Amino acid sequence: MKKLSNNNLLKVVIRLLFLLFLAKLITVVMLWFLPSQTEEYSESNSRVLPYENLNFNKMLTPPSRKKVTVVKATPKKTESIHNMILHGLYGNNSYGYAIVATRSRPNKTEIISVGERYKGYKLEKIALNHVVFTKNHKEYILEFEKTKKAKGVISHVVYKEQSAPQGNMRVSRNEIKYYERNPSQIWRDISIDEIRNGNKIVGFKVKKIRKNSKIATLGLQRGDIIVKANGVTLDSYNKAFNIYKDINKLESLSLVIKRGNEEKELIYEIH
Amino acid sequence: MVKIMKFLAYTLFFILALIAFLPKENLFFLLEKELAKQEVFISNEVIATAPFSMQIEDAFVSYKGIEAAKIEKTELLFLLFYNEIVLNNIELVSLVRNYWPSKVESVVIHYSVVNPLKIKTEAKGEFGEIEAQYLLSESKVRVVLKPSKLLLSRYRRTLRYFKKLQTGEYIYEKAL
Repeated sequence: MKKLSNNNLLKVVIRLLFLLFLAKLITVVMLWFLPSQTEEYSESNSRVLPYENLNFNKMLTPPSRKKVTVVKATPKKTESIHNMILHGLYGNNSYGYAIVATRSRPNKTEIISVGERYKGYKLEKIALNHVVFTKNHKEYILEFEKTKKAKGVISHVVYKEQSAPQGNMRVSRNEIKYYERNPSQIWRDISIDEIRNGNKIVGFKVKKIRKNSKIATLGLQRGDIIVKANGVTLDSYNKAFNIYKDINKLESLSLVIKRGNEEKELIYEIH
Repeated sequence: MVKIMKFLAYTLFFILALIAFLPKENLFFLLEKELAKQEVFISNEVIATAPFSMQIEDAFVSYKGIEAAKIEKTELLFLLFYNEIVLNNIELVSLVRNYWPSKVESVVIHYSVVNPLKIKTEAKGEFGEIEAQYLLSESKVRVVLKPSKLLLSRYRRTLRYFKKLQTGEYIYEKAL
């Protein structure tokens, strides 16, 4: 009788061990098909804006008031640059930026901040109506083209896009605060949709702008595709919203847009 | 009868063994992979597993590249007959703050075979309290909100999406 009981117990244990083995075997087979690595968000700059052309700290904040000096009009041993066009400038002496293009491609503008290089020239200084580059220890001056008369040269934003719908590109901080307080108003005034090339976002298209709204005065048009903001290529929602989040801290904002086949640049001074 | 009881006992043992041996971390990676297709990413998380549960700490959730929330602690319990997900100390970040109070104390999602056609959720935080149900049979979500003073005073715009009841509660229903 005792022997029989032991046999039954052994049977139960063997069955349980078999079930354990079977369960383990199934999970090992499952493991073979399951991913072994976590999916991480791979955007290289999830938090810090990768300013490409613009260094706002450098451009907009003078390192020290004492260092601000007036740039002398024509330094010695300087030459003019003939293969570039100066579209605009902002800043004073050792801080700020210039908007330049090559004469061969005048519409392809680039924003260069002081200290950055463009076509081998390093931007050294910003003056009232010209900028100073250096190359091989030599100074080069790039002035506004005389034909344009540089009528926009003022102490703030002097860049005036040739085909900009309106000259006034200044934005009041109160207007930004208004949209901050009423975020839903943004989506009433403007409708923006992502544009994708395959899986990749290549810009944000303006689908609608409400007439007579504050946004309608900013020069954006229906159909414009915003591809860059402050030098940051807008290839993700994160980048777009990082700009949006920090807009109240910015002193100026540049947008590169595609309108039809043209690429245009809109610059706003936030005051 | 004894045979049936034995069979049920062995089946239960096998299922529990299966749950205990399940590669939970890898199943979570599979969930992440599926969520990534919807551009929902869970990052920075620390995962710890136990035979019948799993714990995830300090997870950042982002949607379409925008940081949406930070979840301090998530506990998942799998017992076949009763499954539960508890999320603690959620902080909503980014633009969500414009529409909803940012601190969520806890969210409890549970599913029981006693009530197989419903997934229930309870949440509380700065917004007040929420009781939600997902009706599997009708593929419908029903959310009942007891709003806090903060929600009523500063986020009235969001409440427009809810229907106010005479009891002072707000209700939202949507077929998915």
